[in-house]
Amino acid sequence: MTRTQTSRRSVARALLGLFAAMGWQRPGSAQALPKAECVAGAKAGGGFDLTCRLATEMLATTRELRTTYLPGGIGAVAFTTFATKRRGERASLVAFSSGSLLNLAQGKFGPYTEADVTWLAIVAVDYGVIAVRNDSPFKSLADVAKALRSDLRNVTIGAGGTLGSQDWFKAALLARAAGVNHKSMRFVAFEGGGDAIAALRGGHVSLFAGDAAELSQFVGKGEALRVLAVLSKERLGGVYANVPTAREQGFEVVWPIARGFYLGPEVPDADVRAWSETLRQAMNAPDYPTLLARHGLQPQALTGEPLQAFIASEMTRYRQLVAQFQMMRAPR
Amino acid sequence: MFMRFRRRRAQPSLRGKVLAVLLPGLLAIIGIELWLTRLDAKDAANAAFDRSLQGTVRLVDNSVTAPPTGGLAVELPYRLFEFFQLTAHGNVYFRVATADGLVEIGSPDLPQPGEPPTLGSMVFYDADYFGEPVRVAMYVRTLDEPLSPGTVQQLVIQVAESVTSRQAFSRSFVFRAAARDALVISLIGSTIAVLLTVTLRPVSRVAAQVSARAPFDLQPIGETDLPRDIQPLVDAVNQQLARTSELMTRQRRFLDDASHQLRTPLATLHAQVGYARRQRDEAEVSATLASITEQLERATRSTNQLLAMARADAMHLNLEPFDAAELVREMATRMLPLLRGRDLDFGIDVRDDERCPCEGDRLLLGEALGNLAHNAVSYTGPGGIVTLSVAADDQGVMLKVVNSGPSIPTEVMERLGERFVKGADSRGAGLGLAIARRIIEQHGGWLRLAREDDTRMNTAVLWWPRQMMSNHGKAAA
Repeated sequence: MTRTQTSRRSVARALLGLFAAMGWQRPGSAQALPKAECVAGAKAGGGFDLTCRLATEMLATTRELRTTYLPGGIGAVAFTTFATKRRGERASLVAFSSGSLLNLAQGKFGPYTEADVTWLAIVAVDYGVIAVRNDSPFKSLADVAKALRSDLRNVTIGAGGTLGSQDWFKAALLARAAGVNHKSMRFVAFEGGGDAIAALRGGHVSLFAGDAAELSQFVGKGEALRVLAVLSKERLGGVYANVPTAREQGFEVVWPIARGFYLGPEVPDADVRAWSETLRQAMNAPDYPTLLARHGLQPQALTGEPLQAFIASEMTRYRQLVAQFQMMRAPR
Repeated sequence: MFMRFRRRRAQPSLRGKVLAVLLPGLLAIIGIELWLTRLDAKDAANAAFDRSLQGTVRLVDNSVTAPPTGGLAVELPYRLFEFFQLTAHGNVYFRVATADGLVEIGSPDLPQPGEPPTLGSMVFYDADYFGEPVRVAMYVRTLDEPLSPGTVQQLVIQVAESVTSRQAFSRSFVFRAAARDALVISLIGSTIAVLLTVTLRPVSRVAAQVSARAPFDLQPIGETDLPRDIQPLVDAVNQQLARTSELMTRQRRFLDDASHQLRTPLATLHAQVGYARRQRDEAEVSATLASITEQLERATRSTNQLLAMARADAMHLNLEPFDAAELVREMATRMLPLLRGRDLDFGIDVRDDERCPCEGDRLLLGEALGNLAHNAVSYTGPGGIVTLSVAADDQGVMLKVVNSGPSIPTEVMERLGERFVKGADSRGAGLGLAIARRIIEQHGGWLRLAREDDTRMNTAVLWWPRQMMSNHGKAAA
């Protein structure tokens, strides 16, 4: 019951945000702003949704940005759609994260590669978190590691995305750091962090591996969740100020997730440049760090050449990681 | 005691035997039945639970939607499972994925079937998921619209359910069947035990009756409500009892006869000897001695007859082939001393060279004929006629004695041949005819005494069959 209400609430909240964004802009603007769309390649409540909401706020004065959901494989359907039939849509930003790059590195987006879209910007960085329900016997990562070591089947890990997704990798890295085989983890995949959090809250999974931003709205508000660790080098601020890092607890797992946008490959260069400039300005706004903090995100701003270089290096890094975990996809 | 114990061990009771065969047989039958029940229960449980699993797959399928903006959305089916688990009492796992793996939600490592289902159909299979036995339903269908160009359009839905509840279901089913069968088998066993006890109760009663009998009680066993299977045994025992009883009767009769036959002549002799010793007159002494001699001869004959009678009663026939004509001729010769000084027309109606081969106890038959001839001579007055003859056909042999003596009253005639029944003027003991009759009856034949009014002759006929009844033959052998 709780879960259902919550899931409805999160949808309602997302819609509210959407309407608020639209209705909030209209009276203040002399003429109608150019309409644009932010595509979240998963269901509401996850990282992509969050990225789009951030963009809506970033571009509040320049664009009438509307979030649409294109769920399927945590960005996979969105990527293949924009790599094929929506290649030239100028007014459609598509949210992505490091998870998208990781999936690309595993060939999980069909035959398409990082060269099939136009990378626009990275606007923030997120960090992985490990969370449980309040009533969970796990009080720290050590408890989780102990349970994993005694019987892997005792721990059901819920996350956005299936085997090989960035959420799965957090759990796998944790398992590896605990000294157990990641391949025998009991893992349940969800269409984005939103559903995974709902499942954790409903008690259908015992451990949640996700991102700080998407979980932040459920933390420290009397919610029934307990964050065991953040997967950052240093402690995060805001609601996570009291949550220890995994490193502090002896587990060398650091998992940053860059968040940003790409465009269809056939969007004219002029539009790409315009989008790029708009975003850069928004990131330079003085209250941008506040905005990021409100969404549980950390600053990271990349556009243009540095972004392309970052994408390339990340792809290389992820390919190595995937090889290490032998996650190359064999369709079944 | 040891021997008795061992014999009991070697020969278990009828009830024990029946139960020893019946109960293992029933157990075997019930074992097979339970095994089949288990298979049936498993099938039934699978059918029922598979149907519910199938319904769940359909519901999950219904929760897969294509949002208007594109993509593929799956409502989390947990609420559905909560409902489902209420009935299933086990864990439920699901996986919704596109065949190419672009989309994958739920438990990604659910076991795959040996043979993937064809499009639009559903397969059920047993598998092991993290050490937990599960039943999996897998359904594959085509997506209404491809998710994006170039992607595979097949959607795979799997729902797995731990088999705990269906195992519990079939186990309880089998347990109930086993309990029922145990009840049935114990009912059958005790019913049979009771039935046998009731059925065999008359036998125990007979045994109790017989062992409670007085030592000389040879009454037949009077049990009438015996099972038909037991009745022949009782009949045989009764027959044996009757035979023993008859034997004892004969022995008693012999004792009676002996005392009857010997006491009187002995008493007479005692008196006569006493009388003779008191006499001074030579002539009187001589006359008394002659009388004593006569009395002794009579007593001797009586004793011989008594012994012959006992022998006949003992039924030891010594069967042999002999010539009946020759027997009659010999009898005539033996009778000659008796005829001396008597005015009788004694003859035989047998030619010297006549032969009449037959079979029987020659000695006893001779005794019978001798008795008849002796009686005939004794009762026929001077000038009378006595004739012996023989006749034979395929059926039997007939020895005939005819005399012209006085007629015998009918009431006596009818009883002649019984012991100690004799004609009014008989000087015999009344045993001769009884012996003859006994002997001829032993041969399976009969003695007939008749008065033939037209010839005014008394006729005594001994007839015995050529084929003696088998039991007589056996008794003789």
